[in-house]
Amino acid sequence: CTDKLEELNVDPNRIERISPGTLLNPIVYELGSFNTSRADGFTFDIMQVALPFPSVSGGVHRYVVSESAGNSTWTTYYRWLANIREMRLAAQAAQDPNYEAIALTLNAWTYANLTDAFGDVPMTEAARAEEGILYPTFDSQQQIYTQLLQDLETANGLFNRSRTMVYGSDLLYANDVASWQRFCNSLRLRLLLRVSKRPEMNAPAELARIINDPTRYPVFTQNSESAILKITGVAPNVSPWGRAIDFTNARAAGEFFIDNLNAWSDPRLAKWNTLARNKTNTTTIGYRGIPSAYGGSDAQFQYVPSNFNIALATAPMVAVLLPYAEVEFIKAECAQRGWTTADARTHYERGVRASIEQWGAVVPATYFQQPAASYDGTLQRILLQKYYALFFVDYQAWFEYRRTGLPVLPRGQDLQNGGRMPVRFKYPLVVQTTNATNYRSAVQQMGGDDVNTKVWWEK
Amino acid sequence: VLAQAQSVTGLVTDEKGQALPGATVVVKGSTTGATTDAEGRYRVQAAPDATLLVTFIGYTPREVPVSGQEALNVQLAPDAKQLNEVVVTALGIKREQKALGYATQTVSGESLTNARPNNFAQALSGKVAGLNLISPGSGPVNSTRISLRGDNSLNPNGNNALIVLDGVPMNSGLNGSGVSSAYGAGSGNDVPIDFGNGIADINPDDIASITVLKGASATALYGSRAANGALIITTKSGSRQNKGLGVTVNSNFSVNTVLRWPDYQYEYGQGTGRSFNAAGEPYYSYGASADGANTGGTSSAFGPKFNGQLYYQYDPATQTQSTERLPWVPYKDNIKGFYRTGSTLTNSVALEGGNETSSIRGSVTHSKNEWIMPNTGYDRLTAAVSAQHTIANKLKLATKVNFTNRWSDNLPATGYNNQSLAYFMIFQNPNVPLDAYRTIWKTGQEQIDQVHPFSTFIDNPYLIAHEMTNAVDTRTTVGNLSATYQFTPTLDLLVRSGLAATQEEREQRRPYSTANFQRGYYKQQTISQYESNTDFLLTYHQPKAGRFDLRTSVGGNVMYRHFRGMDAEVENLVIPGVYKLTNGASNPLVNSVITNRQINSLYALASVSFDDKIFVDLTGRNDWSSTLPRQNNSFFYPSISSSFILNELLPLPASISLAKLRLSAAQVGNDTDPYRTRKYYGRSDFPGSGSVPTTLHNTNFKPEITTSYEAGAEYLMLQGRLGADVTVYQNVTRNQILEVPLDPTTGYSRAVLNAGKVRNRGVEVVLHGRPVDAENFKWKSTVTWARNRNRVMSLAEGLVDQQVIGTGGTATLLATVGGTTGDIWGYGFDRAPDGQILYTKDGLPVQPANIKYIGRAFADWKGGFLNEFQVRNFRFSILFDGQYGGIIYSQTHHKMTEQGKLEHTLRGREEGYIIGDGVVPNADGSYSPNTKQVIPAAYYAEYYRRANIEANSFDASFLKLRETRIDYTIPASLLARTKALRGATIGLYGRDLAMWTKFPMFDPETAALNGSTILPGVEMGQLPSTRTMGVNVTLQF
Repeated sequence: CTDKLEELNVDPNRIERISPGTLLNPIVYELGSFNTSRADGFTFDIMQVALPFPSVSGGVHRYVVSESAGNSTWTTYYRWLANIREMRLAAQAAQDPNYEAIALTLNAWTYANLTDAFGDVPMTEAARAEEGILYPTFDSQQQIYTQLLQDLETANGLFNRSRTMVYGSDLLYANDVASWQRFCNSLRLRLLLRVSKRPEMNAPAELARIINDPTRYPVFTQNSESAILKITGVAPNVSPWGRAIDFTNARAAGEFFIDNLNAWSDPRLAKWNTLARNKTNTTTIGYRGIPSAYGGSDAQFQYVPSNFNIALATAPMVAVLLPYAEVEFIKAECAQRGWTTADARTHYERGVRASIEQWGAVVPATYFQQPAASYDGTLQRILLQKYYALFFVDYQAWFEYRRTGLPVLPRGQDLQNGGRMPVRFKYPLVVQTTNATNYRSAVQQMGGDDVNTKVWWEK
Repeated sequence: VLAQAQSVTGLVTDEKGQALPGATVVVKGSTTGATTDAEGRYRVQAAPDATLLVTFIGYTPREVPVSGQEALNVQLAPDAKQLNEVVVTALGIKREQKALGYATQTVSGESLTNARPNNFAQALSGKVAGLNLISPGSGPVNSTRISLRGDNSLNPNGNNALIVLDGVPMNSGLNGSGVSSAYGAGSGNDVPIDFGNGIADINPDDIASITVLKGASATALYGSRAANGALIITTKSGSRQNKGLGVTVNSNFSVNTVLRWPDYQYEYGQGTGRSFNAAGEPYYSYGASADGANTGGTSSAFGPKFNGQLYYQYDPATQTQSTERLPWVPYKDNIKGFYRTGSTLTNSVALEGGNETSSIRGSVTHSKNEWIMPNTGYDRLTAAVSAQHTIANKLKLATKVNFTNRWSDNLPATGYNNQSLAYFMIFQNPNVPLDAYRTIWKTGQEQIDQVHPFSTFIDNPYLIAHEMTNAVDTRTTVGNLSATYQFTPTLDLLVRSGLAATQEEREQRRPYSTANFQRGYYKQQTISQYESNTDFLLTYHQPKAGRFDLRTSVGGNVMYRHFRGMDAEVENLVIPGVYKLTNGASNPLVNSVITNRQINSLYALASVSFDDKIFVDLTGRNDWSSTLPRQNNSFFYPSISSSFILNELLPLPASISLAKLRLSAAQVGNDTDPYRTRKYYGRSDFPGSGSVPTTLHNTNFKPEITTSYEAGAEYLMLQGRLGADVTVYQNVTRNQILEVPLDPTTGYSRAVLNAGKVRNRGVEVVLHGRPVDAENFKWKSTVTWARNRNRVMSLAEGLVDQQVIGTGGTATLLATVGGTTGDIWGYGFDRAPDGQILYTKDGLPVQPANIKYIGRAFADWKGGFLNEFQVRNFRFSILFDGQYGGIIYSQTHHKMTEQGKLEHTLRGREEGYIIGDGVVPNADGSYSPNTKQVIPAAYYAEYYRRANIEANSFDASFLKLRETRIDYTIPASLLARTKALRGATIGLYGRDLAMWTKFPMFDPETAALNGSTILPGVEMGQLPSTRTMGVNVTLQF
């Protein structure tokens, strides 16, 4: 009788076992989609790409970052990190090195973003509730980066191009192992550059070693290899915007963002933004934004400002995980800083070109003849164009600004937070209520739980 | 010398001479006795000088001396005293009221149809102390959550009272339409639709009575699901009393209008309050014009005042800007005018007949409802059969079957999202006539591009009503078959099998160009579920030996429940307006849910009475549930209840007809949902994919246990002219099986645990009296009153100090230790030490960092006051009911205030600014009055911002004129001339005719429909509630 009751309590629908590929597409889609929505929801505002308009007071563009600003990042990332962890375990169990390497890559991609956004976070003990760990301890950011970089080295060694990926078709690369490997190594460049200020990480030498050994460490060399998820609009691969009009509603393009593109006569403008119109909305007046953190009334702007092109949020569209252009800008920076002997200008121009072409535009023949757009040997120039290359890439533009202070952003009249750019999210309230002891020791370690507490790599 | 026993036979009849089968005939002072057979006959051995004690439930016992006779017919008279009313208790066992050691209340079928609502449950309002109804106000079906004595569970769906229809437990839960949140704007999701739950399909015309068993003690025999009390519904049976055929025809017609509207403002038109023309004056322009930039895109009404001035406006004829400037005037009927007078027409025919061995009743009822929103409503057809037949002397068969078919082409969506009409009503502007929307499609763009000229956020209301349809077709069968075999006069066996089965098909259509579905959407949902219960009950009734009477039973039950839900949807349609799964741009996404569960039970009960003065019931039950971990799946729970007839035990004044004391204690165990003991991967819409579950399973949780104590007193005086029934109770539910939040870093956001203890304590009072009881004038008055105090005693210890019960928008029902399960939390105002609201230097309220307790969704008390009069052939009744206390958060209030649509937002508009009432903190820690002027649009948007639960919550107290009815029964003398008609009654009635409340929106009796959860205390896109007036004609042949 009891046996029968127990048998009855087995779900006839849901699965109890997974293949190494079972979790892959939901992970890629959900994280790609979420990151795209966070680029929109946070990065665009704090990095002056756009701003809510009208915006009487407050807002991220005025550096008002609420204590719950990081909640969805925390919740979503950990949810999918748990999936990535199980994917890795399933791949190990199935002895499939490619799936294991992909899991390690996705793990590093996600944890790096997480620690960049919060600082110290649980990793070693995370996602192990089934083992009874309900109160995971926090790992320091240094420990995290050390582990992730080591994982990426391991992953690069695991990829086996002669072995086919047999568990379903993956959304990002359609089972092309070589592409995954390039993503893995390109990501490693991103992570190394991020921690390059920390001498103990020996990042410049590591960057040079990888850049100079493309056979062993293949990275992206063209746009088609980029980690860009194509959102087709065919369910379930649909736009993160349930209601596309929310993307443009009550919003204006940032003046800083528009003005540079105007100065370059950049063809990306038409892809990204709409034309501004005169006050009576009768004629177009070119592209024009609104200054972030503006003070005073909304009536001071005697025009209808440029907005986003709604097509960016309407499928078919893209979710950019790591674009090829970013790799070129990393190489440009390494060259500019003298870490490699390559020609910074070449990489700069390849980066700009890649970004423009990535968005479906054609680089005008005279583009680099413009003084404002040509490479001038400075890091400022590289990071200004990199800022545009990182358009719509999760929090990357914010992270890079925190690392370099570039591009130089104009300071609006009504900046809050003492005019300081917030440098992290506060830990969500749920951490305080459900993991209080470890929360407290992490905060002590970090030196505070504040939007102005610098993370390790920024110090 | 013992006299020689002789055989005595006879017939036991009721006051009308009808045979009484099942009556007990005992030789007084002995253990000898018999029960009458189906023809009411008995045979006993008794001495010539013995006395026979003849008893039958509901009748005054009689002692009859044998006096040497061999044939002795006995006629019993019904027990006139109320205390001997017969009550149908758990498992359908009929008991005398005075023997019950726990609180019950009985509602007659008649009082359910006096002023009939669409959903019979609403007719219970105000009539039962301790009964609480929550419904979202979501359309004609208006699913209702019935709870008794407060919410015991931290799971908002775990508080429903069990509904038992003719011994068959019904599924009273809701099956959501696939959307789990009433707040859905911007999610890209569909909206919740109230398709109704099983109890909405019960036909009130077929109900004979409802017994409300309020506490766990009354219901221990139904097992775990009755932990929250039970409503035992008995449908009508054929009567033996009418030999031959009886026909009853009933026709009912009612009309519905909107009960109450919010105070909309019609003084200022569309505008953000921030657009001014060259002269610095506010202006309006639909599209850019010579007057200035377009101001016609906003949903706010902070624009220019209506003075008949001329502006370029929308011209419905050309579907563009008008060529001439048009007068700036309000359209005061532009929301109200959308609604129509609703109606419900119900016709029923019932046939009944019977003889000595059989009786049968059959009925057919058809209802057609046209709801107040155009193109919504439903049809319901119910057929019911009830039959019993005594096959042989000792075997009786009975069956009842209720079949219902309810169908609708369109039920309204509810909640705050584009597809609901509530959303349109919020976003509609005072300067926009309904005519702007009368044409649904743009010229030449039929089914492709809708007319919504002001904002793409606003879907055309006629499109919502006529194109975004939600169809349903439900077929429900509830039936049972029972056989009783009388082995000996003292031993009988009941075997019964019951089935409640529902088959439901639903269809949701969403056309092109709608805010959430630019290229259309179509969904089919099929639900098939059934629950079967098979019982046996072996009863031994020791005839009264001396002063003791003992009845013992053992029983068993196998409950099996199966649910299968299958839905398929396509998000983009290839051909507009064609709603077929094969018309999807991609393959349909299919989702299937199957659940199975079983509970096996054994139970025993014993009822002992002493001298008809002291009654004690003992029960014990053991359940084996499939949903619990193997090692914990067996659980036992006992109950004891007792009743003491004090006026017979103690010397009390003769004016006291009854003084009864009740004491009871009971435990009820409870299982949980299926499939929580193993790890399952979540489904994913990507092929061949899944995801790690977000809830951590548990291999070792235990059953929940509710322990309740109850004490009550019943008091009748002046031959029952005045009576009172007072009950106090305490219920404690511990080991609650809950999903407790975890830090997401654990890999899970929730874990299934035994956690939490909730206590409910309360008082219930029923007072009744018959101030006038003359032949030609009777007046009966009943007051019901109940208060319940809910308290969370503990949560998952060491793990969390708060537990989210549910969320509605930004309002959260949050349980904290020491709080209640109905505590509403959210952001409020930051205040200075003296209580004044803190303002920023910008003149707007400070946004606090933390959420706080705002108020309680539960009322302090609820009460009802019913008066019934009878003057000759006229009958008149009037019922008021209401509640005191409790709050409700209103999303509609927030949004309409932010948009300047309500009258209270007129303040400050003449002046052009508002200075918020409060203080500004100074650097030295002191406070200065706020003096900063802000424009009204900014003030209302911020002061009443969505997250400000404090500003948008209101006292939910109300008083309603719930029911009123006047009936005229045509005198029998007149009817006699017709030769055919036996009875004729005509009645006029009203339901919810008036309401008194401080709640500023439609109706404080509302809740958020979060898919399948009805969340109290939150108004989330409410539709108007209705006032009903009707006429009813009953003819009996």
